[in-house]
Amino acid sequence: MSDIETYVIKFSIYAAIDGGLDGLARAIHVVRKAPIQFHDMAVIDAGKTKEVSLRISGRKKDVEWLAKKLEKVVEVLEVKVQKMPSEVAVIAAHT
Amino acid sequence: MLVSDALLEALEREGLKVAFGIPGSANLGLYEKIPDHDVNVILMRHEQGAAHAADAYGRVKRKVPGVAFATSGPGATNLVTGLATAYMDSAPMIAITGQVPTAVMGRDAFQETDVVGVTMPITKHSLLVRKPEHITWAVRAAKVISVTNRPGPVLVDVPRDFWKKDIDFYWPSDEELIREWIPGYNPNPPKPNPSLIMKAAKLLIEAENPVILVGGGVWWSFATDEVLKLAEVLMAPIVTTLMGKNAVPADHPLVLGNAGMHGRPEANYALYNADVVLAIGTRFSDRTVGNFEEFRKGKKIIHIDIDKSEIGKNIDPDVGIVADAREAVKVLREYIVNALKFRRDKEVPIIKKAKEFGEYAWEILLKERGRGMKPWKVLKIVREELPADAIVTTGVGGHQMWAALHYPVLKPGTYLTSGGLGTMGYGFPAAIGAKAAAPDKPVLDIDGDGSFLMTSQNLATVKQYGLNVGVLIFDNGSLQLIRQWQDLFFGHRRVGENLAYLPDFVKLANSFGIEGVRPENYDEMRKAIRRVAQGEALVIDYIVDPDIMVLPMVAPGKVISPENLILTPEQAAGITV
Repeated sequence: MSDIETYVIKFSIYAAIDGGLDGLARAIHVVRKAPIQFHDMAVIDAGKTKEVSLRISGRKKDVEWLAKKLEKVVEVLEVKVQKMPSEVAVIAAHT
Repeated sequence: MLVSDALLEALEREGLKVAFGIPGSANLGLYEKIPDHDVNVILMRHEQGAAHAADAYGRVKRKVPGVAFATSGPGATNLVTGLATAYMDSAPMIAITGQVPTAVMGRDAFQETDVVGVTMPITKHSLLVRKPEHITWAVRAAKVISVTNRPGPVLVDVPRDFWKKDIDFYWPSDEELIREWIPGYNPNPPKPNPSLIMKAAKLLIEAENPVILVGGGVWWSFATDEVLKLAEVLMAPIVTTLMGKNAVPADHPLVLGNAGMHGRPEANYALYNADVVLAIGTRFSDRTVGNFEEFRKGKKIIHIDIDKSEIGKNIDPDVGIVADAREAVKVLREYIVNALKFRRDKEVPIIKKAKEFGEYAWEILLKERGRGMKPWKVLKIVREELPADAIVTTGVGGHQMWAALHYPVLKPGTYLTSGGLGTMGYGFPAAIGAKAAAPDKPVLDIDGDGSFLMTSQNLATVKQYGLNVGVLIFDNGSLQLIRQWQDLFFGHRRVGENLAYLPDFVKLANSFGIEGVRPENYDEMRKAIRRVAQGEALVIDYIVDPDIMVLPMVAPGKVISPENLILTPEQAAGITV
């Protein structure tokens, strides 16, 4: 059985100084180097922060490592990792 | 106050009074105001050298990062290798780059490069100053981020049109800075978790052969004394990574030296055969353990690191403690001594076995091979002639590995090498940066011919500013480690390793107004090193037989077990990598 599962990582980027694009770019650099599969990403403006949802698949260990790396990005305020419900993951895998 | 004055005032207030750099059109507005401030700018001959010098300055000072100035475009991109070098070795430095004016930014203006974008993956932080009044905030943030928690390089990019903008000087407090500018950044590492400390202590006192693996983090966290005290309580050996070599004194009776691909046999033996490894401030590089899965077998691992993303990255520990190394080791020792009432009265057995293995290995390794002066004997002279607190830097290559093996560091903080990125050309500008940071100490760059050539133009800087450093060039006319790998693992097919048409290094030095010598025997070598110890700028061209290999060696991908140690070239036959 595969140990690859789908997760959503949610994090906030402090955007009060520069609008948040640099923080977002820095976070994407971190994601690029992680041993996970990237599916999609949504960014919502919330005033002083940008709220980012990242949908990825990978091993739990690697996803947790990615979350720790994201926490190190200076502009990142908070990181939450959620495993996606399996039915959602199945839908996601076929769309 | 003009932005240029405000930036320089900010540097002064932060104690950042030495900068290395090169002016260009995008930072001339900054340079214009330097004479009005207590900031000393040293002209390097290439921005890569400026970055390495700033990196070395920060490695020596620890809580005062070195500063590098560069202009936009090529000036900024020339810093990239130096920033990546500092990032990989967690060295604090601040790069301040000029950027094209805001009116033309993004339009492919002359000498425009998005250096913030370029350096995002190789800096701890990078930022473009978007408003003139942000300048003091940016410098303060850069300083805090570069030296706290896990140190690293920070880049601040300033548009050219800002330099002459008039602003009200504002100096944010620490609290304001964190709250308004970098609320996501925590400069303070977490306290060690007591239950994890208890687990670690139990493992250590129940172990038969615990070994302490020291990484560069021990230097950054001022943890040397605490690590030595803990080792003395456990009577356990200390082995180091290449970066950790700089963190503990080699003459302490429990220190066995550096482990790894070119590690000392006794250190590799102890680390591989330990039943519990206490790893402190290290990322478990592949160059240290060789093969993660093989290394992990049969031992318990306790990993202390300030960076939580390092815990479990390469090796899953049994106990992972995220904390400042000094604090965690102190608490651990106090718990072992005070709560568990534990203190070993004799060395753990593995020390004797490791030393016996070392004696066996060194007898083979030190047999006379090749012509001329032997590297290990030359390095013995270097150690004998330099005072204990002299600073040694290295380039990258064979000479670096020889130095790792045969140059014992007596005072922590006196050995600067590019361990993570492995940057050829690091050693010489790093020596200049170290000399600027510690002008009273002799500084010697142990370099290779290939490595030195990459940044040797900075000889002019040595002469211009009287930053007297010595350079000991291991001159074997080849990229020595490349040749060695080709001979050992790539069917003796030597391609692209021959450094034909090398300059005469003595004449090269002379052409910059610096003396050079080419010793022909050990006595002449001793005299030359003595001149460096006395503070002379001197280039020493040491001719090395190109067929002498750096041994021992563990083939890449192989675990650092005794049976994988290559002690003679013949032993490498049949190994594929």
